[in-house]
Amino acid sequence: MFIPGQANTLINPSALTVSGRGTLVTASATANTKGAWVLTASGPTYGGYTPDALMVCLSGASNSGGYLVDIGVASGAGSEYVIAADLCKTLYQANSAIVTYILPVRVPFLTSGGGIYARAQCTVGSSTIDVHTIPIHTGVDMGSGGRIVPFGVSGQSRGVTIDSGAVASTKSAWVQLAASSGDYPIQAMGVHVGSGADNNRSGTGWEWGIDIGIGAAASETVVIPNLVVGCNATVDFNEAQIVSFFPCSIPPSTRIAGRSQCPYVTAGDRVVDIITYALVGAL
Amino acid sequence: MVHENVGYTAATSRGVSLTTSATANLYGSWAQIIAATVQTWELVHIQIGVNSAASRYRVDIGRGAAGQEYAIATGLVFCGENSAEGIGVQYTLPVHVPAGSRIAARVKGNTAAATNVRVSMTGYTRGPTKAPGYAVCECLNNGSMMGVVVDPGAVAHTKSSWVQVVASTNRQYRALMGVIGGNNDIARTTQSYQLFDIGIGTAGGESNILRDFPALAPLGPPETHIMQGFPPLPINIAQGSRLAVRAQGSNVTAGDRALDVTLYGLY
Repeated sequence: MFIPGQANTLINPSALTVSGRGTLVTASATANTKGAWVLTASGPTYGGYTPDALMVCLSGASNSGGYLVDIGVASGAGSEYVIAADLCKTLYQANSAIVTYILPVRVPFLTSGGGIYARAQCTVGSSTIDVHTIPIHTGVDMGSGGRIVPFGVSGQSRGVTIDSGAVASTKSAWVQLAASSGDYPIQAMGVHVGSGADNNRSGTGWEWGIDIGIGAAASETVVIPNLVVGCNATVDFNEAQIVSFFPCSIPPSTRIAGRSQCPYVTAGDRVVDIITYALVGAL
Repeated sequence: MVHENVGYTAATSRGVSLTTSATANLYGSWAQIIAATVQTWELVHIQIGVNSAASRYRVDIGRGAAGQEYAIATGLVFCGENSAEGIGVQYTLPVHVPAGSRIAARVKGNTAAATNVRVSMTGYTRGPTKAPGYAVCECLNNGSMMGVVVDPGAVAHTKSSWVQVVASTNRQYRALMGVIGGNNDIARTTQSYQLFDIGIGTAGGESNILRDFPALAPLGPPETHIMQGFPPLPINIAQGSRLAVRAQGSNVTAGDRALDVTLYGLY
């Protein structure tokens, strides 16, 4: 709990006040390959409390394409390990806002002089992106989990493509995002929905209803229902501006899938791409 | 079951239609989202979209019997000024809703004609924390359709003067949420990177409670659809507190550089 007047102002240590931007992170010169780690924050320490949540804001992408950003922590440069992998921002038109991830993870090392780091990849080599990392100490056990694991990352620095199909307002077939969720149970999930790299949609007022499901093929059970995203004529797609996490209880080694529906059926225009982010157990 | 999706009509891929009053800036009637929730919710994900006319909208979520609704979330901003087909906004609020609750919603817009938006939501039986949800998410500046306009000023990368959001909070709040809108600027010519501070205290004596939160005022449409902000953060705000906001930006073009801010207190 932040209490004003007790010197625990919630600050954005990644902000560069000389430019109004976040810490600049450069992708590898090789497309779709992570670049070097960059220090984005070395505080605050919040009176010795370990932050139990992290806001990550991605903006200022230098080229059109898909971007994936890893967030790491370390006691010092060279020993980074990932606490949130492949946070996505897509930019297929000039009109794009900040995408903010609210990550319920603990952020160690800040109280002992360590830092938060980021590295990026893009479909265009050497592209840059602004990264803000804002640690939060909520004091209400927001981050019982240890790290954020993505499911559904494609080779093009974005999500797996899902086509809502030729029948209006009818759910598509399930598309697998991951054959197995791995060794840890999942406590919460967030979803990033991208444009499917479509920057030339013909319609206006499109809305997709997206489900995330778990279970064997043909036996999926919905865990996140009817997540609504939309676009209009001037914005081919509006990726979710704030990616929140929703509680769930998914056992280890579970298959994860997604599907969508849309009231419009123009082929090529009805696609989206999806990455789910899972909060998994302690490090 | 840990989730309960209500108000979504599969046949149209859209939520329940809410209609504004024909008088600008007045709420329309409550529209039922669901007659009775099955589960007790501690987290509500609210989805607002597809406006029928260009307007700034504010949505209330209420519960209670028809004609006796009381709001559990007030003044939720939907920036739909730039085109008749908005692209939607989502709020994830840690608000408690008992099982068996009737849920309704209403909307107001700043055009003098009846227009509509669509609303659906998903309730979760627990939130991101182990704590129960708050009772209410209350908008602190719902008197105007726009939020408080913050102009970063003519000097780039320098914080503006503080602009008051609320002179004295009505009650103690346990969390604070903010939304940054486009200030109804649909002809912005220069992209602007901005950093916002939220302050508490008397005029001239403000101290930061949130410093350098980022926002982006993008070039070209949809300047007003883009909505940014910060989620409910557990910040203790005492009753009677004055809250203010200030900003800096990279764009110093007069008329293009301002955004608008709406704050919400949760208790």
